[in-house]
Amino acid sequence: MNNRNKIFIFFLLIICILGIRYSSEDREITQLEKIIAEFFRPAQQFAMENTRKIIVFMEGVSSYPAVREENERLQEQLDKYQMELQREKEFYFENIRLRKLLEMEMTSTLSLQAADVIGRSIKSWDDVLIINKGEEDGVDLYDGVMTYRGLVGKVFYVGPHTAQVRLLNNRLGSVPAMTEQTRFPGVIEGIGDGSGLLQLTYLPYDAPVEVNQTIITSGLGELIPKGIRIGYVSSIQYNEDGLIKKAIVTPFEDFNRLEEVLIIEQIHEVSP
Amino acid sequence: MRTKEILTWLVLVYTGLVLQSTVFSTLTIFGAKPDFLLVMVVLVGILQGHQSAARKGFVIGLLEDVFVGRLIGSNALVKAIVGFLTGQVEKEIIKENVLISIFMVWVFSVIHNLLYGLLLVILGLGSTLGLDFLRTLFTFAFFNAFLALILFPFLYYLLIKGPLRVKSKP
Repeated sequence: MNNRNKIFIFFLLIICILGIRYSSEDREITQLEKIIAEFFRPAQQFAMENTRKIIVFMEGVSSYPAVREENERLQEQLDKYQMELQREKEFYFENIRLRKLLEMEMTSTLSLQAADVIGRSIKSWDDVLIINKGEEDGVDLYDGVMTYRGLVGKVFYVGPHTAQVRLLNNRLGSVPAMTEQTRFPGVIEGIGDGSGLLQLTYLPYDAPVEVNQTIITSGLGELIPKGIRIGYVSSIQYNEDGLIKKAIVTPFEDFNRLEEVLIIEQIHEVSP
Repeated sequence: MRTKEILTWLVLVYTGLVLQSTVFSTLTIFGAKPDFLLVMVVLVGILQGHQSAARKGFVIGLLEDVFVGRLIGSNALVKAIVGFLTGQVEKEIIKENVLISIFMVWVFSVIHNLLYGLLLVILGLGSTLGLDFLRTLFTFAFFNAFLALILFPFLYYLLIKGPLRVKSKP
């Protein structure tokens, strides 16, 4: 390194030290510095905006497991609350139904016993119910089963703590019945076509049975008491020869929605 | 120096200053953030030798000082010295070896900050040689080494084969 270079370097060193000294204290920004700052501003703005976007994205990515965990926890809580809410709803509707049953049990002259529907026949959904009362609860074979809306069927199998009820819409579940208004007797049974409708069969063509008449139990056979509502006549169908007709009866109760029922104690015990 | 070379350097310094004041300012750990311009100076020293690195270190540092607006001349001085020192090892190492270059960046980043701290102490502008300073010093060096890993292929091309290569004298 020659002397000229050494002098130049020394000169630069002095300039630098003076510059450091000059700019180490608070001072007003020079015009040149303002221009430089303006020159950098758009690029800085662009870079900072995009950096923030990237940071937000990265934070989102890094917090994903925690967010997912929280989401799962909240989802579990939500499911739990929904389940509880559903149970509350169930209790509410059960309460309404039981109130009606209780009202009936209290006001009826019949000897009634409440039971819960705990199952349905696997083979024929519409036709058989399984209830949680059996022989030890005093349930007998052929006991009538009803709701506050009307008769729904009769017991055809009794276990110690359960019983099976054949619903009226089962073809085998026939019950002696009559029209409420004209007291004309007949036998009511299921049509068996899956429609849930019943029929009052073998009526003479001139029998006083008309649409909208109410069908009730007749009490014949002394198994099911007289006067329990079953349904109403929704149409009349005549036989081909015109000598016999049948009344199509729509039951008051929807047999697909039974949850609680009342078992009617028989007038006379029947040995199976 | 050719116009193309000057423009390339200006673009590099401009980009470096923008990155340091924006993107890198969000990457602070223990108060340290990477120094794009220092990495450039060190790689110039390794790839082009001490004279080129000292000159460029001075100019780059001066531009940085003007941009910052405080302690004008401090970066110019320290980066010129670092450039000069880095250039001393140019002939001793294999330039193409990226790991050696990265290690050199780590070493000269430590030296840079020690020199800078020393300068401030000498000028009575700070007493920065504490534990925090050392912690920042090593974090800073690691940051720069990592940055060098990314920048090396790009700067190697520019400084050896591209528009920033030094023309050999006839």
